[in-house]
Amino acid sequence: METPLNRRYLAVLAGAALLILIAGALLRPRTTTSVLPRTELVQLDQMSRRRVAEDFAAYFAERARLFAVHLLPSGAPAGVIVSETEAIAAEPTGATPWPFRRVARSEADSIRPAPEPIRAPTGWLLAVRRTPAGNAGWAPVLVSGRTSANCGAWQTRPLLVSERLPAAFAGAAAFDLDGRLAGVVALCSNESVIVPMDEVVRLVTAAESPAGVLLARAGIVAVAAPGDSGIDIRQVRIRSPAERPDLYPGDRVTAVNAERISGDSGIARLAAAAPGTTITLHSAGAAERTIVLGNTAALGKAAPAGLVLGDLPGVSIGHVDSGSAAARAGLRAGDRVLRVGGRPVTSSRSLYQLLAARDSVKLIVYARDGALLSAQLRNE
Amino acid sequence: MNSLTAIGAILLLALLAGHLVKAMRVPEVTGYILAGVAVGPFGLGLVSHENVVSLSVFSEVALGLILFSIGSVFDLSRFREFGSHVLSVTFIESALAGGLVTAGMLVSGQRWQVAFLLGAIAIETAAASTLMVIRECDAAGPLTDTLTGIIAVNNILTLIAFSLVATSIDLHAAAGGVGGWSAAYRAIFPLIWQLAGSVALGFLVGLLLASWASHVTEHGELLILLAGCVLLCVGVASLLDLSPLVASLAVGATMVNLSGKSRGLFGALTRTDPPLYAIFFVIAGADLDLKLLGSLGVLGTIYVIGRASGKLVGARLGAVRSGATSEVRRFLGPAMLAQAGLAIGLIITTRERFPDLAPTITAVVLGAVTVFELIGPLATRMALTRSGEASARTDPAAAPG
Repeated sequence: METPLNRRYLAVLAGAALLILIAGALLRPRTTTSVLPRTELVQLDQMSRRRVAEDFAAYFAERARLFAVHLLPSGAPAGVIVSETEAIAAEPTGATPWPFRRVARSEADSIRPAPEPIRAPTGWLLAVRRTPAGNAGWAPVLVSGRTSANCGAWQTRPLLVSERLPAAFAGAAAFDLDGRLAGVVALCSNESVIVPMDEVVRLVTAAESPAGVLLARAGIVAVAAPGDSGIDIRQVRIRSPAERPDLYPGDRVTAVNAERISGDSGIARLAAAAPGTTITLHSAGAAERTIVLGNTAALGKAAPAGLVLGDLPGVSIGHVDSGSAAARAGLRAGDRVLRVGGRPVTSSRSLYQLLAARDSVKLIVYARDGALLSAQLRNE
Repeated sequence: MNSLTAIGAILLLALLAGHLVKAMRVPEVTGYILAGVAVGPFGLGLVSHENVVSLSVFSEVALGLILFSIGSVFDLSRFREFGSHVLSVTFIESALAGGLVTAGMLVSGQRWQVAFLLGAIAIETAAASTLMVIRECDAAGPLTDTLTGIIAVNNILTLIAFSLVATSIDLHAAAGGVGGWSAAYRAIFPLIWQLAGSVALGFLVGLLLASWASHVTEHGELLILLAGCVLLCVGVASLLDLSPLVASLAVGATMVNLSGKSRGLFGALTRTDPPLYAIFFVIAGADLDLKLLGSLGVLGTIYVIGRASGKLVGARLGAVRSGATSEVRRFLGPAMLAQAGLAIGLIITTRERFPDLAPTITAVVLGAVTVFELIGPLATRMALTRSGEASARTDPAAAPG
């Protein structure tokens, strides 16, 4: 080393530097571990938030397509068609406090125009969702025209619903009379409110989650396939990373114990299926096959869900082994994996495939406590 | 596309883009960045977000090497000549750029925390793109020397300013709540640790590099030694929550002062590292979203105008005050407009430490970085060319005939 400084002086400096490093490393305050690598010089923050917002918009838009406004020949909105077989008429019946009634799709033409007050001042909103019991319970809700004063953390004041809805409605989508997605039902300090869609997306992208708006549900999510042709599986919850569910989103279940199933009763049959039950199903582009539900099948606690609008995109984590790579990456049960290596997780199957494909992947996780995290997961 | 295919495609694309823009007298760096924008997830999508993330390790290595190179300006024998001059210019341009942005944000009704954090980030001048343009132009002269010195001091100053603001915000929050000493300790510690710890780490790694380099004769071995030391430094810095940037600078500074081999080493590095930098800038471009330009908004415009005028006026004032030549006075400001790496790093830090302030800061800075990363290298090249410091080889205007 050619240096103007003498060796003794250098040794003292090196010793001091070493001392600073050791002392600093020991005295470092233990902060909450952030799973976002500090040295990450890509615009991950911006990108991941935007992607989550896109996921949400796409998720709700997909479901919104199931609905269409029913127009009278005059062009006035008369009700909302909620499925291929059902409609909700926006006409006063006199029998209930709600000026709505369920009618068969075929009856939709007989719906009379809604009286004027229905559209003013805040308008009426329809919150539609099947009840957990599997009954075809489309719930119309009346919006009072006032905004809630209790949900102080929210930027947009949610609209107050005149009656408190059962907790099962949290997360249901609300549509206006033009068939547009108006918001999501939330429960907030003993009030039921409709949170506007803008606010829902903002909450998610700003990683603030009031419980109730974004309610992760247990079990499978299934909908009746059109034309009584079976039950379509939409989501399957993973309860353990080691568990491979027997059913995957995208599968269509056509029979339980060789009996053909369809419609609401089919969903109830499927939900009640115990381990050992034989299930006939086919996936897109594949022949019909039969499986026997194992003990680890994700159906045990399945809630017959019907059309569920409250679930988040992504896949929920059921269990994290302590000391595992997932635990070290900061993942916890109840978190939702939204993206793996930049790709959206659309189902538990896609999650498995994406995780298995490489040794180290970056996950974008919507944490149980509402934080949006990025976690690096290494397979061991 | 898997990572290897992506690297191959990125290298060839960078070469092609570099050739294309050269014909238009635009810096290669801009070509690389534009190529990145074109193929990135926000453009054609040929290079996915996943590729970008998996290649970010290259960015870290490249940034470490760039800062190591810049650290060589702290050669004490030379720094004494122009050190005070560099320091005074840096202080003036930083104070003006940061001050104008802060004032603009306060006037537009932003909270003081947001205004001061944005002011601190506005100080930064991109080390990587500026140095790459200097190298591409093969520039030499008083402007180039001043510019290189300023980049080094400027990045340290940015970090100090940001840490001071962050500490003040934490202390202010602690004063209004519980926590007392513990909260104050948590607030002040990062400020001292990031500077003293990073310099200590850089010095130790630099010492290792300098001692070992005197026993290494082959060019290849020297490169292995250098790569090992820089990677070690960046890795340990990340591990200990230190600043990889300051630590890499310190390695370069230690090396240049302790080893007679440093000139050869920096020369060898210049001949070997272009592929790494090509990947670095294409990735940087792939991360830019030109759509952000449309949503720059009032705050973004205040930031861009405040920072640009602060840099232009501040550099000129500083140069006049320190008695610099007329070329330096005229062209120093435009040469230091680029902004990227550290600013984006600081956004990530902001997100971790102040999640409630992060959305505004992220939107403003990312939009502004897109603007400055596109016009910055062009302005730097223009400044170097017109000041006559770019070599004839790269300066068509100066070419004979």
